[in-house]
Amino acid sequence: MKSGNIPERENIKLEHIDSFPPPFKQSKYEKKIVFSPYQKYTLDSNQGYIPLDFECDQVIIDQKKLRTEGTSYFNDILNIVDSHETVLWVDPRFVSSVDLALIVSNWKNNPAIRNANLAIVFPETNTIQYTNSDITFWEVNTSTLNYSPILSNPIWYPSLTRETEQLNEYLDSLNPYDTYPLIDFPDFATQMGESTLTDHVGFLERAGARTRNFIYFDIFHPERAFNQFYNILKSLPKMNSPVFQAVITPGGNFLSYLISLLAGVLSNSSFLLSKNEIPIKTYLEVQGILILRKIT
Amino acid sequence: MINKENIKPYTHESLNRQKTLLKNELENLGINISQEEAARISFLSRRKYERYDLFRPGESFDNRLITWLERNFEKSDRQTALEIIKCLKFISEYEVKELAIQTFENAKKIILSEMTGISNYNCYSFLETRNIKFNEELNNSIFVACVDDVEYDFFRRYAMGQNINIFQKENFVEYYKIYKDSLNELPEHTRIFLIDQLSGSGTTALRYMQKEREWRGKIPTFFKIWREVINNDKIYYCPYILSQHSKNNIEKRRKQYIDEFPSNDFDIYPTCIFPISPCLSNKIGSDIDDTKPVAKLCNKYYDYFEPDKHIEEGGSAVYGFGRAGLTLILQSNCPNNTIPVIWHDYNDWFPLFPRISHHQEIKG
Repeated sequence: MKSGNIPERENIKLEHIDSFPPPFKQSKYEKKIVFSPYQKYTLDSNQGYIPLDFECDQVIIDQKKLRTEGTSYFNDILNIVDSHETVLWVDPRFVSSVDLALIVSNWKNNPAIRNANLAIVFPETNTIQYTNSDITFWEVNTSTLNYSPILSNPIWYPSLTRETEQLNEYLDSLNPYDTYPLIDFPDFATQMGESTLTDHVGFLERAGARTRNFIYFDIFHPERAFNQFYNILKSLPKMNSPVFQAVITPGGNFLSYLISLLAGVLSNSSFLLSKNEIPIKTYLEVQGILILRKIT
Repeated sequence: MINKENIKPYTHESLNRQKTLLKNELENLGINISQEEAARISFLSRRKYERYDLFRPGESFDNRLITWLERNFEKSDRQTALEIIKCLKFISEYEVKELAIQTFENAKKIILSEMTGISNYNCYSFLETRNIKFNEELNNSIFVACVDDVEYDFFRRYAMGQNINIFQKENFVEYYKIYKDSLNELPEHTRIFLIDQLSGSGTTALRYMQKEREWRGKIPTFFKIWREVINNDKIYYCPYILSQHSKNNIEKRRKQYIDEFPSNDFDIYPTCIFPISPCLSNKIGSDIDDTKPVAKLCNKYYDYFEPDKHIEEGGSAVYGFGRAGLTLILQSNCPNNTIPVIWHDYNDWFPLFPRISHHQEIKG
């Protein structure tokens, strides 16, 4: 009998490359995904989005069709030659969290893709553009978007970089079984007066979040941050129907946002945030790459 | 008189009561404090400060704070003394463990950044050759503790658990002052990581003794003891916490030390760098501003303090040992780089966070 507390043997690995452009040659099978309309619009109108600067086939993905048609659209448009090791490149600048989640979920669940790695570039930024409207629950399940996930005994993982009023609103709508706040650690470690916590005194006390529940995000070491959070989410007991359901409200600097999003999608967790939230709306130089690999 | 409100502990009402009591007590001492500020202090008190290892069971931080303010400071100085509390950073046991993990992850990052000869044929071969080579290099690394309070057992278990079949027990040395026989039992190595907890002024790590005309500290002592087994190893000094002041000192002294001993080269890779406390620092954080109210307070009450010969090695300790200017507390002990008004107990001074010194004179 499988115990819900022992994570399954990991079959998805995240590798981090601390440089850009990629320190390896591109094969002819690699593809760069460009999202329409956001990225295509800014690309066409020369409004600041500069595509990834290396030679590779480009594929335009329509955001609307991705949300409504899911796997079949993804397969048709990408037309992956799966007999060869290849890389799908994703640039999250100007892309909504929902669309990014759909790409990751399609990559994970698509049986036709075994040999394609998913490479997500990330820019250097400490500023996330939060959207405080259209807050909703959503999950990406078997590559389709579901706005009404069943939330039995939700366990909530909110980033403490969000405004305390917002967090209190989310708390009231979710009524979680337990709360595990996410804290970007390197900043917090040297923070005199500990404002990351004390700015949220009321919220943390209303949520009953115990001190031992704090999850420190190690953004200087993305592989470790991902492994830690991914295994935490996978360890929630799951039987025929989930006893507990993870709900994530990501935040922090872009890397912690991205890692919590990836860990959440790959562990079939739900999200509580705006469906139209685009974390990065400006052109910023890419500083590194996260590569997701399926390990068999 | 019995309190008839019947408020149960650890409820919203009891937390409010605690906060209100603290505010009232502080106001009785002549301190103006907002409800919000009282809530912050009360929150950190319950969640962090009361876990301090050297508090007795049942001691509350709020009570210690009131006593500290009332007994030590004149009424006109208490508002300024409270500014110190607003700038405290308390590193809990959870946070020390997180620092231990991040120190190990930093060591991995260092190795990755120094590796060469990785295939760039395509993504797959790049990642595969990188990972294979990385495991080999990690296997040839030794991790040595420079002090006994770095949660070293936790560090070792984390490293071995994350990297199964790479490490043996001998890759981890629990203390750098080791017998020669034990040095001969070390596995092959090309890198040595010196793990330290805190370097607040750089004095304990590396200093030049003018009178004796010799270099002292953990780093010179390490090289003296380990000389025979360091061939072409790269040496890295990795404190969990390095103060900005210490960073400046060690970098300056390192150049002079390596000029004198070229074979004793080492690099410094702290896990986090602590600035001078905002209640003491100048605008750019480069030094202490003696005109700041808290700085004047430290000077005013310094006569109560009795520096011993170890403290004196760092010069005046009015802003903490070695003029570090910290308001940092670790759950296990308060470092002497933190301003002494917080921790000393000489001449009936009541310590907010009492400290146990490593250096104690045995009195006959």
